[in-house]
Amino acid sequence: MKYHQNTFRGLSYRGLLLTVALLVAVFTLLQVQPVSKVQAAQMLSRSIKMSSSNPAAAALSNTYQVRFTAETTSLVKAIVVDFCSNDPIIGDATCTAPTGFDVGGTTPTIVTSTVTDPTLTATLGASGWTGAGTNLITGSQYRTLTITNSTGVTPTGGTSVIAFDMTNVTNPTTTGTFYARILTYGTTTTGYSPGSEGSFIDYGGVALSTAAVITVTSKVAEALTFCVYVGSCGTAANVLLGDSHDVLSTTAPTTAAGATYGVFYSLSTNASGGAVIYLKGNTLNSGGNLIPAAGTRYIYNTTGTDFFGLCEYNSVLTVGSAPTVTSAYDGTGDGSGTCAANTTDDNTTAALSSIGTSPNYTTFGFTLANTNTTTYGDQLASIAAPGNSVNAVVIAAGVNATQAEGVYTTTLQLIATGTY
Amino acid sequence: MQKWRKIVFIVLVGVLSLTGVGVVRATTYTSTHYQVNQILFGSGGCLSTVCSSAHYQAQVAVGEVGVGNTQGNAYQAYSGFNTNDAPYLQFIVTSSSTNLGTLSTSSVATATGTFSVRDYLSQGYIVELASPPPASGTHTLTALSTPTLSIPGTEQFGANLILNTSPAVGAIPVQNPSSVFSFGTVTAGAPGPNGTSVTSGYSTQNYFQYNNGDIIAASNQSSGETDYTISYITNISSTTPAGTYTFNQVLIALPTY
Repeated sequence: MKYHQNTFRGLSYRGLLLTVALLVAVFTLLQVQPVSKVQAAQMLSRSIKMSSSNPAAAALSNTYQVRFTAETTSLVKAIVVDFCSNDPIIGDATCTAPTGFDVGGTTPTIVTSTVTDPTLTATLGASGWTGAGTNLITGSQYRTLTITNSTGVTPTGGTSVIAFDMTNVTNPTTTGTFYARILTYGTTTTGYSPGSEGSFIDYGGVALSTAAVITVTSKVAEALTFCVYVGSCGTAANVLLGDSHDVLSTTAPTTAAGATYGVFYSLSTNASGGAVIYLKGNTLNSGGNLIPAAGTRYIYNTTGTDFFGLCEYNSVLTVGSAPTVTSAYDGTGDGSGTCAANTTDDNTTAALSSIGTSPNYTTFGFTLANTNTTTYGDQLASIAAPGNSVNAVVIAAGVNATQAEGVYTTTLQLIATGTY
Repeated sequence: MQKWRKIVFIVLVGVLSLTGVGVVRATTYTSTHYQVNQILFGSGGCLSTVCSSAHYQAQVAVGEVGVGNTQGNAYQAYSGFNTNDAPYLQFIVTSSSTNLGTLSTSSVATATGTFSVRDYLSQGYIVELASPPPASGTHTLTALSTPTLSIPGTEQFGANLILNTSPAVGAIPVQNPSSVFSFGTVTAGAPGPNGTSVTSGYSTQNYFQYNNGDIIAASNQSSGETDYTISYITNISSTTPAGTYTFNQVLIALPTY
């Protein structure tokens, strides 16, 4: 009997041990049973880059670049990004919408290709995903973005970077931190709501922030620096035409008939519309006698003829473009003659000694009707944009044998007008 | 009797295991499939939700075993009683509006702005420039694409985040409360998260640069507050178009968690 009792006790004891062991095993198994939130993995390297942190950019379309590395190798058919002002905690039943925020209406625009970030692989593919805005805040502003694709993609856990851009986001209108809760799903129907997220795959929180703007304002005043001179700015622009005795000659050779000396004008302006240089004044005159004005593109190729004219070319260009010289004064009226190439203006050499040979004579201009009778003179040159240059004006005169003697003078004005 | 004690012990182990299920579900240590936050190893303490009355509340820690950040290549953890399980970003740009008046071709104009960054539970952060240079109408001031000295009379717009002597403007970043807890930097090439790094050209004294989109500051780990001063220089030439030039500096802080 004792034996039986011991046997019974032994069996009972072993049975109890077995039962307890089974219970422990069951509980242990229960402990690792798939429970959606436990099985879900927190995604690493997650971020949302804003194209602007300016809360005043609320009325603008901002782009948010959503990036994260999938932690689970599993088919993904939906991604939820919920923006909250209180916290990024998955499971928190409260998600307060950031003030003024909007994911982009009911049908937010999303970009899953790598156009906006070629450094990434288009894990989601270039197309096939559509966005939906839910959780109405006010008016047509929504807090939650859900993108879905009925086919879905299967990222490689720990490797695949899932990336897409939200291209029509309205920033919160207040400065400070706000958050995003990101979750991925294996079905297009997510059943997501804060605190009741359904069966998701990967998840993660992100903090973002709007911030004030640093504003710097400055003014640039309208500027026009204009100087007419012979030697350097500040010196008088007095020009003596003629030979070494300052006498205009009728006997000079054709290629060196008459005499010229140059004047310069420097022009520096920040006028956005550029500037115009006007020429105003009379031709050479002595008492009631005049040396005839050259008109437009006068060709001096015959000794002993009367004319007074000038041409212009650019000497130094620092900024912008060289002035465009009015055709009458550009010196190019005959073949390929140019004002610059065929004249000298260093105040020591008779410029017309290199006036050129046919058909490439330098031409001169002086439109008396414009220079002497109009209110503002004749347009000599112009620039269309801000510029800084030094320009030479070559002045030339010749006389014939019948030109009345006398000291011929004239006062010429160059007038610069900027357009701002 | 000893056998029954064994039985009770095993049952207790089972019950404790069951109790543990809840803990694991709520907060888990991190592995391929699990993570845990807010675990206490210490002599004691209580959260404000416990140590509170109608008028007062407190968080109490007794004999904290260890505090601070521990990190490896893929994971990091924060020890200490006063930790939080939520990613955080504090990004404050001090709102400022500076009027430089009328610029001159003979002298440089300067302005400064300040911002601070603090982030938590992250792999670090970067701060990017997100604005075009000053503009008036169709003209945009010439931004210095490479580090360049200030040259009055030449149109220039640039910035840096260091203390300068010519012109005398700017300040070095300040770690708040100290470099023990704060790690933001403007040093060229300093790493940020995800292989990013600070763009060179913004940390050399008296040299300025401005390229929209450049990374001007970074930290490669969670960081206490770093206070930055960004300095701007503006020079104009004789042909800089007249007008009122407005510059709205938008900065973007991008943490990666």
